Amino acid sequence: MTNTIRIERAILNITQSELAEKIGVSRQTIHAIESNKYVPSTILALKMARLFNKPVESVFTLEESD
Amino acid sequence: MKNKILLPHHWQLIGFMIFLVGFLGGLSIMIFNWEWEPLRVTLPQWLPGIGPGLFNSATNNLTDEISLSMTLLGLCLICFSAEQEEDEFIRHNRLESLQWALLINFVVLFVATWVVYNDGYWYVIITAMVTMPMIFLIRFRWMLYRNNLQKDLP
Repeated sequence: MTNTIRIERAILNITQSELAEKIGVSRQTIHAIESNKYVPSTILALKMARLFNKPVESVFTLEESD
Repeated sequence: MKNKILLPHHWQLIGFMIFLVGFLGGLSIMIFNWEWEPLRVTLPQWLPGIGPGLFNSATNNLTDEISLSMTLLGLCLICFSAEQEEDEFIRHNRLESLQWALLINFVVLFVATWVVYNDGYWYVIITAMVTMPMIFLIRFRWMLYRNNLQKDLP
C-alpha cells in the first residue's frame, strides 16, 4: 500500500511531529507509515484523511502486491 | 484503542529496581554459591518425589527462591508497562518482539536439549525462564531506539 502523507503534509505545511500531535500518535509512527514500514489501523487512516480533508482512498492506495 | 493489560509507564522503573536486586542475587548464587543464612527455614514442600505422602516438609535456604521471584516479577513489570507515548506502532513492535523472543527461546531450548545433558540442563531451564522476557526487552528497546533516531521531516 502506498500513501501520499508526505505530500499532504507539505500542502498543510506541517512537520511529522506536528501531524503526530494532531492525530495523537508518536512521530515515529508517522515516519514508519510514510516510509511504508507500517500499515496504519483504519482508525488512524480515517483520522489522517479527516485532517487532510480528503477521502481515505486518495491518501492510501492499494498496490498490485496487496 | 487502549491496551487494557498494560500498567502505567512508571512501573517500568519500579520493575527495573526489583529486577536488578533479584538478578544480582541470582548471579551471586550461581557464580559464588552465596546464600544468606537467616533465610534458612523449614517449610511444607509439594511433590517431594521420594518419601511418604504428597506433602512433606523440607529445610531450605530461600535466597534463590526470593532472587528468582524478584527477577521474574521485575521482568514482568518492565514487560507489561506502557511506554510514555504508547500508540499502535509501538504495540505492533511489542507484539513482533514477543514473537521473536518466543521463537529464539524455542530454538535455544531445542538445541540445548541435544547438546546439554545432566546437571547442565537444569541450568539451561533456569536460564530459559529469564532469557525469554530479556530477549523480548532487548529487541523491543532496540526497535524503539532505532525508530527514535529518525529525524523529524518537514
